[in-house]
Amino acid sequence: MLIFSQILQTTLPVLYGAIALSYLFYFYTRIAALSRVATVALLVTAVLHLGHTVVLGIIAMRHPMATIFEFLSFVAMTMAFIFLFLETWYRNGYIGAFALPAVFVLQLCASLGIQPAVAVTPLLEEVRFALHATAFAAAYAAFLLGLLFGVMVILFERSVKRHHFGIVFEQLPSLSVLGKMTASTLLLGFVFMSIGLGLGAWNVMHAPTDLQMDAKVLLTILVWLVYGFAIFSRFVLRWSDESTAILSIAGFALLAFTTVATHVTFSSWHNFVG
Amino acid sequence: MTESTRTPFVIGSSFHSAPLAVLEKIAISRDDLQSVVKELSGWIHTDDLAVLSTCNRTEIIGTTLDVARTRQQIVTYLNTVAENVTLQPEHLYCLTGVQAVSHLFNVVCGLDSMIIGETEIAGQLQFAFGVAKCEGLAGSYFVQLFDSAFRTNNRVRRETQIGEGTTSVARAAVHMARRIVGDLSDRRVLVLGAGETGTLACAYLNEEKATIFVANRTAEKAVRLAAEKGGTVVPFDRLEETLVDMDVVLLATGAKTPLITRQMIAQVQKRRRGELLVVVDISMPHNAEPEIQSVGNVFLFNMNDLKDMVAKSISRRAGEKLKAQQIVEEEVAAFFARQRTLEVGPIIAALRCTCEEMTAAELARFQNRLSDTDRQVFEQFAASLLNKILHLPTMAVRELATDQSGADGKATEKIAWFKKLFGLDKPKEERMRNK
Repeated sequence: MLIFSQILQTTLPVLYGAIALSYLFYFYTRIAALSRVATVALLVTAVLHLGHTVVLGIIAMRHPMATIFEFLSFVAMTMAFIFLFLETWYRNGYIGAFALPAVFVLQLCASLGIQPAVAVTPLLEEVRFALHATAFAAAYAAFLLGLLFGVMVILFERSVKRHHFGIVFEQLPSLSVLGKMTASTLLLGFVFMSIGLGLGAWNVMHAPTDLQMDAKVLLTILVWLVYGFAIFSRFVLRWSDESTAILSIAGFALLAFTTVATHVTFSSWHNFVG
Repeated sequence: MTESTRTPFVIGSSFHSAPLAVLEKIAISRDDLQSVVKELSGWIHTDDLAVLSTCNRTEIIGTTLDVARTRQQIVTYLNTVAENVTLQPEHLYCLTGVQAVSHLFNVVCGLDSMIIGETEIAGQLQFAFGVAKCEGLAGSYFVQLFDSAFRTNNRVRRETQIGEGTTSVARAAVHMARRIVGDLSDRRVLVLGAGETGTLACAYLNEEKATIFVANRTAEKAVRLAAEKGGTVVPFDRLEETLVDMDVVLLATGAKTPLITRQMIAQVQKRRRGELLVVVDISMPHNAEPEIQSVGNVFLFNMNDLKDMVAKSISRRAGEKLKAQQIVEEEVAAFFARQRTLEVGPIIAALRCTCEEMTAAELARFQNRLSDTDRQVFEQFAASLLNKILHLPTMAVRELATDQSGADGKATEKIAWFKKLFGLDKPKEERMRNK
């Protein structure tokens, strides 16, 4: 099992890289066969990735999301699954040219640092903590896709307003569909984040009191509020796709800052290694 | 009609060879096609005959034993049909053999059309072939020919981008709207103007299953267009109220001043709570102020945008034409190779049969001078020798059949020589008489 895990750890970034290249070629050449091959290859790779995650958990005898590398790997895998769903639902493979390079970079970073033998805090042996971390990873994956779709919306709008009808205008899904993709990924991420926060609160109630005073918790609640406002403005106030895209980009910027700040600047018990 | 003597032909006139006035005279309507095919088959006596008639071409496609006679008959027929217009020799073309097949394949793929890569022609050819089949004027060769033509079209569409993009301004307008709001089937579209462009746009919107609303300064025209295209008439003087409920507005009027102003759109968008609104202005001069695109969630496309898009599509299709022609050449060669394969089977069988009969006849001549054992030995010897002698020519003729570089007729010519060499071009009785 260890050999299987090690082989996949090396192979996954290669596979995602090749698939990302296929989607990029498809975007520029419009050869439909490339999209079909890339979709099947992505499905197989994502399933292998899931297998790798399960095996990693079995080998390490813990939840396979204790380190930042394992977290990134899980985010990459969840992105791949969400992307496959969206690609099938909206029947447009061109978005893969934007989404798959991100999956590749995440998995490349993850594969460089994953070590099954690393010692982690006993907290992660508890199921509710594991579920809390899983929900957050899924939320990150959805928000990252939301960011990418948001960027596509902005690019599309700019190209129309400037009357430049190049490859972005011709290949991307319609603006309305891109807007729906952005909103639906934000909604999905928000639901996962709400579950994660709920589980986190439940964990805190069953944990020592010092867990409550954590910078990451406060920043995450702020991120949750930003995304909550994005959802509210989109679905209740019916703001434009552009506004949702801007909020998606702002939300992810804050999310990225929260993640980096927690791991680099502030001390936090959310760092589970050691 | 035997395989070896059948010659495919295409005789007709298109925008390449004749002016529109001539093409109009010899054009045959869809409703009349069946009766024309029936009438024409009585003139030229053939097993295979199809008539393709569009606004840009009228072509008679078939197979014949005597090309010159068939050509003369068809020219006479077309001159009869053309009434007051005399067809000049340069108005008509007569293509036979490989050229005819190649032309047919190019036509079905839209490579010979005025708008390169257009798809309508394939449907018109399907219809023409359907009529031929209905009238019993499609033998096995003709069926194979048309099957190959349609297969070539599928391959060209699959492997090239010859049909990509839009080539008319009205279609480009609909395409632009789709790029913003997506599927138009659940969208409300207002067409302002019931002229030629408005009518065309309505037709394309109908194909997209959009909910159409029509407004025109002259209400009668709007009523007529709405009735024709299944739309709803809305009052021209209450534009602002109408716009509130629309997703797309297509402007195609002859108004000299803008009908849609920035102020109006700002008001409309306020009432629409900023929902997506696409304005496509295909009027000259503009019917919408360019400033309207500064209003949130409003997207404006004007005539220049559409013309650019059409020009790009045409240029992209021209770039794909060479690739498509290459495929057509390959498919023409493959078609003739298939025909030759069908043709050489009986040739090889006839050759073997003739040789075996000759061997049997020779053995019979010596039958009285041979014991049973000797005869058996001689029979085995003769069969073995025959196999060895026939092996090389059999292989050679099979190779000729599968040679796809022989679409220019050389392989067919060589097969004809092969038949002549072994006397297979003569009836069996004559061959046996000469042995």
